[in-house]
Amino acid sequence: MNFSEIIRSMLQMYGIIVTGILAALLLDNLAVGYPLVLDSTNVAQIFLLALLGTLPTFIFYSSRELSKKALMIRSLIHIIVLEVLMLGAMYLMRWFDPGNLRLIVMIAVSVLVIYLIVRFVQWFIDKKDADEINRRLKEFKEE
Amino acid sequence: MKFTVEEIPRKQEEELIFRCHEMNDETLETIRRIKSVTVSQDGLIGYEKEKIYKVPPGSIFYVESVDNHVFLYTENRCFESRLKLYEIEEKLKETKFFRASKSLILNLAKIAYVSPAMNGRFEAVLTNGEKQIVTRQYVPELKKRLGM
Repeated sequence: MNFSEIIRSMLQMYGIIVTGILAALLLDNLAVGYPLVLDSTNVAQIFLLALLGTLPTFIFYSSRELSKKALMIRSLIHIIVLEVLMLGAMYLMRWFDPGNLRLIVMIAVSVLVIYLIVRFVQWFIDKKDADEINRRLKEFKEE
Repeated sequence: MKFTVEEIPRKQEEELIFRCHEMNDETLETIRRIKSVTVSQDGLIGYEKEKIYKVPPGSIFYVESVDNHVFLYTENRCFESRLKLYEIEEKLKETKFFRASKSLILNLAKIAYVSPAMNGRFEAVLTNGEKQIVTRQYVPELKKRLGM
C-alpha cells in the first residue's frame, strides 16, 4: 500500500474500531454482570484507543508491491502489535488489574474479535464490489 | 454520418480522421473501438526461442514485467517483448487492456471472474485458469474500465 492508501484505510477503520470497542465493552459488562458507567474521560480514552488501533496499519506500508506470503506475515505482525498496543494502553489507563488474568484474556480476545470484525467488514465491502465487477465483466464480454 | 474512403499510394501512411461537431462520450467510445481494431491489426512483436512473431493483442492474456524483462502471455505460450511495460501500456491504451499492478497489464476480455483477496486486492481468475492479482492501487482503474 502507498501512503495515501494507508491514510484512507486508517480513516475507514477508525469508525469501525470505535463501534467495536463500545460493543465489546457492553458485551464484556453483560458477561461480568457489573453495570457499565462511562464518563467523559472514558469516552476520550475510547477515541484514543481507536486511534492507537489504526496506527499499526503502517505495517502494511511498502513502496513495492507485497507478495501473498509477505502480506500474510505482515498481517500476523499486525495483530500481535495491535494486541500489545491495546493491552499496554488499557493497562496505562488502569482499565484492568494486571493480576486479573481472566479479564486480560477476555480483553485480548475482544481485541481479536474486533480485529476480525473489521477484516470481515472490509471483505464484505470488497465482495460486493467483486460481484458488481463480475456483473459488468459479463456485460463487457457480451458487447 | 458521411463515410469517405480514399485510396492513397503505398508510400503514404494510412490515416483515419474523425470529424465531429462535439467530443462527447459516444464519440470517444467510437474512437476507442476503432483504435482497438487498429491495434489488433498491428499486433505486438514478441520473441520466442530467437524467432520473431507478431502477437495479436486479442490472444494476449496478460503482459508481465519480471526482472526488467517484459513477457506477453497467450493461452499456452510466452513471448518476450523488447518494449518496456509502460510502452506496451501506451500502445494498448484504448483497448481492453488495463494496468492491474506495477508489473502487470491484464486483458479484460480474458478475465473469467474476480474475487476479493487480502488487503483490498482482487484475484482475477483468467479464462485459462491462471490467477493474477489486481492490486489495491489499480482496482479503481478496473472499475473505471467497466464504467463503475
